[in-house]
Formats: sequence, C-alpha cells, structure tokens
Amino acid sequence: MQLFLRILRAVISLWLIVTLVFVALRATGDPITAIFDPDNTSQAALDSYREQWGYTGTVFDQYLAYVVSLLRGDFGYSTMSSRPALDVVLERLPATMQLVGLSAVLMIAIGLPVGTIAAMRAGGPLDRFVMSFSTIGFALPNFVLALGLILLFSVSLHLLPSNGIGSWQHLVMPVLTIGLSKAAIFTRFVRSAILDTLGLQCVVSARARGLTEWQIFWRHIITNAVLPLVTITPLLVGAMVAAGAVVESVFGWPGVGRLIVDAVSQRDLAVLQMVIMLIAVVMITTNLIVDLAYAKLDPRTSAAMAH
Amino acid sequence: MSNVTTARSPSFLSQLPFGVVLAGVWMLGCLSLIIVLPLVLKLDINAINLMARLAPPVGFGGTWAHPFGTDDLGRDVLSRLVASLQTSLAIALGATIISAVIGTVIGIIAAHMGGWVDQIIVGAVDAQVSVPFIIISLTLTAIFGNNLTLFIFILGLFGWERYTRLARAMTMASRGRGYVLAMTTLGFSWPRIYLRHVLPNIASTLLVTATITFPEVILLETSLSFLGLGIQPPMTSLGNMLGFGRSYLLTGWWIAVVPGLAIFFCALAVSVIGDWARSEVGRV
Repeated sequence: MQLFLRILRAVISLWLIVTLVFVALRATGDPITAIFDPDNTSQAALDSYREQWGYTGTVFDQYLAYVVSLLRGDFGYSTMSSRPALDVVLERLPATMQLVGLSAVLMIAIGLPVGTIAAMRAGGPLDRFVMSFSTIGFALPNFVLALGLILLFSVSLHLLPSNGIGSWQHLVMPVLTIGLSKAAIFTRFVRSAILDTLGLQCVVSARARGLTEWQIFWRHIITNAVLPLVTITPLLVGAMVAAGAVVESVFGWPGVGRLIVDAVSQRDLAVLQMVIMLIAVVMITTNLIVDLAYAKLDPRTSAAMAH
Repeated sequence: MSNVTTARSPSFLSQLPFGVVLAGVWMLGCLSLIIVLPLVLKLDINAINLMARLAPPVGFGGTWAHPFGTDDLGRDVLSRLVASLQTSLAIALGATIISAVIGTVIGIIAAHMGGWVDQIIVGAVDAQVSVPFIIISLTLTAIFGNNLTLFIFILGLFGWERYTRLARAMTMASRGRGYVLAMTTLGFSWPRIYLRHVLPNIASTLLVTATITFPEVILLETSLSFLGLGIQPPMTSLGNMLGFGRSYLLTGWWIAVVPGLAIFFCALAVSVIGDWARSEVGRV
C-alpha cells in the first residue's frame, strides 16, 4: 500500500511537470506560426501541419492529444536537426553520464573522508580549515573555476586540452570542476550527518562498553550517518546535471548540458521539453528509489508506517 | 536580558568574527565603488580606443590610465567592471525581493486556506525542488525570448519555494499562539493579522533565508549571462564580461580574471554574512 502511494505521488509529480510544460509552450501563442512564417506559407499548408501535429480543436483537445502522443513515445521533432527530439537527446546522454558519474566518484572520494575527519575533530584547526574551504567552494561559480583551471593547466602549463572529447586528458578539467564544487557542499553534509550521530545513545554506550574508536565508527556512526546522506543524493545528482550546462559549454563537452544551451539559443522547444522530462523522470525515480531504500536502511520508518 | 544588551552594545564590532567584518568591508567597498566612481570619473563602458587595445593592468606592465587594463576593443575594464557590478547586484537584489514576496505570500495563503489549496501548493513546492532551477530558467528564456524585465522576473522565481515552506510552517505554528487567537476573537481581519502581526514575527527567519539565497541569485544571473542567455549587449553584467573574456585567455587574461574574482568575492562575502546571520538568529 505504501509502495503504491509513493509511486502514485511520483506519477502525479510527473503529470504536473508535463502539464506545466504544455502550458508554458502554449503560452507563447500559436505554435505553428512560431515555426513557420505565416506570410510565406500557404493557409492550406499551415492547416495541414496543424492537423498533423495535433494543434486542432480546443485547448483541452490539444492537451489530450499532447499527453497521448507523449504516452506513445512521440516527443516531437527537433527544429535544429529535424530528427526526433528523443534521438537527439539520447545520443548526448552517454557523455553526460560519464562526466556526472566520474564527478560523483570524486565528490564522494573527497567529501566522505574529509567530512568525517572534520566532524570527529569538530572545532579543531582542521575542521575550521575544511569549513572555510567549503564556504569558498560554495561561492566559487563553476565557470570561474573552469576558467581558472584552463588558465593553469592549458594556458600556463600546456598540460591538458581545454576543449573537446576523446581522451582521458579531456575529462580531467570538467570532472575536477564539477567534482570539486560539489565536494564542497557534500563535505558539509557528511560533517553535519556524522556530528548528529556522535551524540546518539548507541555511540555513547558503545564508548562506555570500551569499543575501539574504529569499531564504534563502523558499527554505529556510519550506519546512522548514511540515512541523511542518502536523502540528499537526488538533489546532488540534479545539481550536477545543472552544473553540466555551464561546464560542458566551457569545455566543449558534447553532453546534454551543452545541448540545453544550444537548444535555448536556437529556441528548439521540442528538444528542451524532452530534456526537462528526462531530468524530471531521473529526479523523480531517484527520489522514489531513495524513499524505498530509506525504509530498508531504517527499519523504524517502515515500522512506523505499519502502525 | 538588559544585562546582555549592555554587555554587547559597546563592543558589538569587536564581537563579530573577523571573516564577517572582512565580508562587510568588501560589500561596503563594492557599494561605494559603484556609487561614487561614476560620479567622480566619467565612465563610458562602450568607449572604444583602438590605440589602447589589450592593455595589461597596473602591475603587469600597464598604466594608471586603465588600472585593470583594456579589452580587445580598447574598452576600459574598470569602467565595465563598475557597470557590471551595478547591473549584477541590482538584478540580484530585485530578484531576491520578488521571490521573497511571492514565496511568502503563497506560503501564508497555503497556511490560511488549508485543504486542497494547501495540497496543491505543497505539491508545487515538491515539483520545484525536483527540477534544477537553471534548467527551468533556461527553458523560460527559450520560450519567452530575452528581455531585461522578463529576465529579472524569471530570476525572481528562484528560491520562492524556500520562503513558501518557511512562511507556511511558521504561519501554521503562529495560528495556535495566544496573540493570534486573541485578535481573531476580537474580530480583526485575517490580512491585518498576517501583515501587521504574524509577518513581523517571522520576518527575521525570512530575511536570513534571503541573505542565503542572494549569492545563489548572483551566481545564477552570472551563469546565464556567461552562457550568453542573460543580460545582452550593450548592457553588461559580470557574467557577460567573463563570457566575453573567455575568448581572450591567451592574449588578455585580465578581461576574464577581473570579473571572475569580483563574482567570487561578492558571492563569498554575502554567504559569509548569511551564514553568520543564520547562526545568530538560531542562537536568539
């Protein structure tokens, strides 16, 4: 029952986003005259396009036709390349997944140990250093960091290519940009999650029972700190995809982020709508998975629901 | 209580953390720069001087004629920086105010109406959280085209859900408080109770949220302008300058580095102040 309700909520969120996209797209006026110049196209041609793309009847009819076409997997044609918008977006996906995946690895590899150490020695010099660093990372925009890296590694040291895709050298700077900036935020989350567990009764009693710090850490601290960290994962994934828009543009990385920027400047609405729905689906699914994982990780939540 | 106030007020400045003082000094410096400099010097951001193209800044072989150097058209980088700071800070301030007002009003409405109105608003907040805002703003730009007023309003949507959440929760909590019950009994109208009595009570938390949101709005505006999808020439913003300077990293690094550092230090200063304000409000 719980599972059903959660899936229902996810479906409602998705429907809300689809509806908002429809409203936004129609708010600009007649979509046909936006694509074709009405002065140079015959009325018959306009009408036939209108017929073909489901822009006939009342707004409600159009809305129904729109939802039905989405359900059939028909997402319209990209005006940039006159191919199905779905194909245009999907072919960019692997590059973005590579970038986001590696950045996530870097973020966790930095954030988890550094945040933990900072929390264990809270208030100490290392902790203060880490917190200052995290504040700096939060205020440093992606494109400034990216340009700084280019100035250092490409312009001064001639070590790395500043643009393109193909070798591992091309990946270094984009991954550093996204990974480091997200690590600044993630470290803070890890630190506060660990700090919250340090005061828990199980940790205090484990210490009283004479367990070593190592045992306490693995048995009690990590198991409790994992919960809040799992909760913020979807937000961080979304933030990385969003960061991709800027970072991929700077480094000429042919992923979804750069596609968004190109689609905006070309006003390719079919592609944009496809990207938004893809991101929404990814985010909503991650949220759903996290919700379900939460019940598994924390028996208290599922027990509470049973009552 | 009086004890605390007398102990604090004389040494208020010395009680502030060093970083916060530094951040305050930086922001005041920026503000006076963008107010005073245009009065003292005649700044023309679009004045082209082809004889002085790509002049380096002072300390790197440049002269005081152009303290931060010139760009590829010989336009003075300092003048453009001041104009950009004006644009970026004004837009960020405007957008923050818009989103605080919209978000708070929606939150109070949700708390007051309850029922399905509340459910829809909570659903909208959830939906907003699930899609990164930069994607939404890019889409709105693509759909509605690019003009300044619209751009400010699009940025003004950023973070509305934070104010809505807070205002909703705090208004709901305040409805059970004695003063609200008393005024309801006395027959005061709801708008009056919310505006005159509930709002002042929740304002400090909302203000802290605004301070924390402000640097994010600066970063959003500069990101969009950097991508060429925000402020359009002949106007200039920090992101705009940086996006333009990106093509001159080899021949004129200062064109990108100067606005880059300005964005970074402004965002840093405001977030340091915001973090401090949050911990102060939390302590009270």
